Amino acid sequence: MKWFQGINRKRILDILGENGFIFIFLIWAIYLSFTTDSFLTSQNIFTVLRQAAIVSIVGIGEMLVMLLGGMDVSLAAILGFSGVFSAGLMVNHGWPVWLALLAGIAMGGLAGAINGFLVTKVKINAVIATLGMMNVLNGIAYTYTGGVTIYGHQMDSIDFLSRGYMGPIPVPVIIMFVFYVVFYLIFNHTLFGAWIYAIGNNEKASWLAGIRVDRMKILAFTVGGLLAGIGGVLQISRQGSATAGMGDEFLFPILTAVILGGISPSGGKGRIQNTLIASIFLVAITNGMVLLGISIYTQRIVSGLILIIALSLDQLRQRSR
Amino acid sequence: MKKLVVLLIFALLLAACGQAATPAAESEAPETTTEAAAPEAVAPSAPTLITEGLGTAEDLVPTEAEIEVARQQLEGSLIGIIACTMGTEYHSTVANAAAARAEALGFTAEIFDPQQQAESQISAIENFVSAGARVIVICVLDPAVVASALQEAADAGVFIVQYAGRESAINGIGISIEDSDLGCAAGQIASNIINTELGGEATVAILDYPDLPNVVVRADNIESCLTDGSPDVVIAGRFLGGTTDNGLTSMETALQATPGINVVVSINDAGAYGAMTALEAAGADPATTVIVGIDAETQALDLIAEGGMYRGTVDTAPAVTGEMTINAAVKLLAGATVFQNIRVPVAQITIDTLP
Repeated sequence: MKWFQGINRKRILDILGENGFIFIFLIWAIYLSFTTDSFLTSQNIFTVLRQAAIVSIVGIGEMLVMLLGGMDVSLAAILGFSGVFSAGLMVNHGWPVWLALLAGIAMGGLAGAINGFLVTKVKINAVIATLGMMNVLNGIAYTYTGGVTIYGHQMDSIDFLSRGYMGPIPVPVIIMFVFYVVFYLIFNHTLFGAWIYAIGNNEKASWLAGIRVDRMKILAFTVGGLLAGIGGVLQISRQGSATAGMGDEFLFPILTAVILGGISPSGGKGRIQNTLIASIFLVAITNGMVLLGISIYTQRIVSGLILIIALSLDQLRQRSR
Repeated sequence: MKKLVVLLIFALLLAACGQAATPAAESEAPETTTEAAAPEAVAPSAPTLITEGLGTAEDLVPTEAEIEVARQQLEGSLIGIIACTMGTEYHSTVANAAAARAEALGFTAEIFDPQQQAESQISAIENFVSAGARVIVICVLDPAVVASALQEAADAGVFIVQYAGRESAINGIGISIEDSDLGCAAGQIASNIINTELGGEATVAILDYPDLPNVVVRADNIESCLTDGSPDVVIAGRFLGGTTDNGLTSMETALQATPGINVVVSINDAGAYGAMTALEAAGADPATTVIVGIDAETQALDLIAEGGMYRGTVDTAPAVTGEMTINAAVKLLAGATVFQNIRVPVAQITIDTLP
């Protein structure tokens, strides 16, 4: 028992708290691997990763903004708006597919840039500004579609973005990992990444050190918008159609993934890889419950409980400090 | 300073009392409107609601005289239309058809979109009452949530016309395609195809949407009518649908657990599209795979016409329903005798019955 006594209680709490949701994820995965035949199959693992792709990519944008101490609640709406915009251009207006996709992504970036301008120059609170943007974009999307689904054969050509494979790996999974590798390098090995963390930790000191804080914030919101635009494009490829409300489903998972991943709402703290793991965990919760045959009515209770336990472990860490 | 504050509060209270009294005063002033009525118009009185039995769309068609009385009753007022959402083709068509019918009759109508949030329907009801609406046309998301607000509106003299349900039509008319009828019709379409083409055997997934109690009734009846008609089917389970993404995600996962699923019946078309994408991606054979939805959206009709795995849908007659809500409003405003409960018949649509 000597080895056990040697372990500091605080250290255990630290390890649990630092990686709390990852522990719960592992326990959940081990449990599912014993109780279901299909959870650990490559097909199911790729299904989970594919389903996590969009939330995790847009989650990077949310993380960027939150690392700066803000919050963008409009990313899901930007996702829906960009998707509708792209689909509308290619189906209703005959634009070339790639141009329509780029235009949709660009519109996402524009919406993000406007968010950044409102927050830094007009000095509106980030949540309020993005809440307003969310309503504006939803309103435009609903007005444009009139509630009618946009679909057409033009969208068949972007099928591969969500359904294609490169070797044995689904394309959206590759896209997701490419984004994470790129942003991992940006966050950890570039001046831009260092500035983001610096501003989140102490905005005034960063400004005094010569960092152009407002410019960085606008850039962060813009990149967030671009990533949401990419999410929108991936989503219309995934469902083969676009509906005005298609972004609504994403607001809760995006915010949950980022917060569960340990990004501090006050900014300056958080690791990008945890956002990815949290996004996958969220999908795995639902995936596992379906595989277990848990009633659709009970699923919410179970998923809520799992999230509460995972977040409670994070609180343990904070209290131990 | 204190005196000033007290005076200000007193003035505000007076103003608030005055405003609160306004709608009631308007609703209790039929004499004024009667005087202004055209000679052939019927004098407005309280409508007589027949509570026994179900009326039809034809029963709601108003006469010219009733339209004239309603027009006078709505002078300077409006009809508030509270949708369930404007994000689906069915709901937007109902609300837009209602607004178009109102406009055609010379009424003012305003649409509110609660985006499937039952709680925001409460504020919408209150706002329409404050705006002096004489009729509120509403698609109730959750009857329990809006019960008090609707009762208050009815107490203030506002007529309630409910569509997509009837339980909340206080002081008014409920127009509904029964969710049980819709579910049963979808279940029957699937059952017929299973019996004639699949030898009566299939593994079935039902796409549900538990957030909306009314829709759960639909899913219950999909299952009961399907198993009544095809007792040998295996129900693989109920999965989250309602939106294309939900349908897609649920079916991708359900197919991991039960790869043999070859029939999907969905509470709406939107969820069924997602299921179809998942089944196609899993390499399901269109000849032995059946998808049935509800709502008869344009995309669903196109898919049925293509002759693939999307085999049927149920027509919910949204445009007709929208027009019926305004016809019902006219009947109420004109003080007519009318059925309180109106049924909209459903129609099964397959490749043989495509409109």
